[in-house]
Amino acid sequence: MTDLDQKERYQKRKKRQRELSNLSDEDLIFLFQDGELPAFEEIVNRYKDPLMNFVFRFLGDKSESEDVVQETFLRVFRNKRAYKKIAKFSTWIYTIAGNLAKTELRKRKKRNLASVSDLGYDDKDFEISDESSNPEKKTNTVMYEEIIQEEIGKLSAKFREVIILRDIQELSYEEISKIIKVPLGTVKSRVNRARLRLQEKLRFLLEKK
Amino acid sequence: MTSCDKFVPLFTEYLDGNLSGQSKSEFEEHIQSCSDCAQTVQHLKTLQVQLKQLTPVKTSDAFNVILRSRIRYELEKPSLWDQVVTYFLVNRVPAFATGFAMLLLVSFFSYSLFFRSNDRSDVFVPVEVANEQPIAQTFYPSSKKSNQPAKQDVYYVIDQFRIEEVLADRQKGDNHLPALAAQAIHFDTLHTIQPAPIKIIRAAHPTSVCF
Repeated sequence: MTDLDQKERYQKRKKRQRELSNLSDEDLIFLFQDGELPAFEEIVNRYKDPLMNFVFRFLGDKSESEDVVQETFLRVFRNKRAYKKIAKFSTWIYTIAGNLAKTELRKRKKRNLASVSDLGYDDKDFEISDESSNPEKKTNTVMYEEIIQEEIGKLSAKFREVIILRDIQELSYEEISKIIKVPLGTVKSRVNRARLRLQEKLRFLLEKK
Repeated sequence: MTSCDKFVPLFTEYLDGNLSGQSKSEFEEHIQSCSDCAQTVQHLKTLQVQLKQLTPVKTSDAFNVILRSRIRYELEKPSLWDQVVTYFLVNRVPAFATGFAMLLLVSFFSYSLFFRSNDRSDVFVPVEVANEQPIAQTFYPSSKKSNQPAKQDVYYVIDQFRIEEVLADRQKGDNHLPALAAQAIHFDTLHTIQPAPIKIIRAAHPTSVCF
């Protein structure tokens, strides 16, 4: 294959990637169901970070969370035909990730491992924004986020799930209701109670703000 | 229920801007008069902002590479049969155990198929002597119970038994052998005879008899 051919192929691929980036999630999964692998790559690029954030906030461990997100995409890859147009794609993929995260949590309990509350400063490895110009502010931000994460981790799984989906992932109540498969009213009530509980735990921090 | 309890379930609705009309005005009136609830609302607002501002956690740089390799493995994954064969080839001890189990299985079936003996005591044929009064009377000496039919407990009989035993009985002077049995012995050329009624009575439960 000549260099010219390679260049042409590369340009075609790039053009296709640009086209795919303009499509909806649902269109992408249908293209993938028809065998177009680049559509799957686009889905991965769209969802890997939001899912990582969701799962990390749920589990509190970056390595475990990345495994769960990998497994989520593998499930999507294996069971692409299972997706039907009756639900939003985001609902489907969040449901898979949430179920896997809960399974991981159960496994962890069985292993009797430490929970997120043991996430010390040395374990801190999630990325933070560039605040190197103000080290004190950086330290405060890191500490602050760690405390919030620790308190989120202390909530029960059902409260944790809804508050992450609503206040961190900013999903609608309707979508959360479909993801966790409970009625809308229950979701709202659960979010309310989870917020109040977290607020009580973080009162000392919130008063400073 | 205090007045605060009534408003607690409405915090989220209020913060999300879903309260309207009378409910909203009642709620706002309450938080103006209740410092605890006002503080809680303020805390909840701050909390929402803080949660939204948490630094997003991202996947590692190697995420796509790892995922791609896992998918490639998924696509090239050997079939279940290949996996089983590979497993037994790699792990010799289980393979040996399986081989041994297979050998036992083959031996068992071979024995069942090719080594069935005619002398086996589990080869039975049903006979209809149980309630046949004339036959029963034939085999019991009429001098013992001349007016009653013989009691017949035998429902199954071994299809063959060795002639030597019958001959031995005869040599001992056993006079109970009926003419029918004697005739069977006379014509037998394979050193076996068909079931003799006299033997049926002696072996009251032939299922326990082993030749």
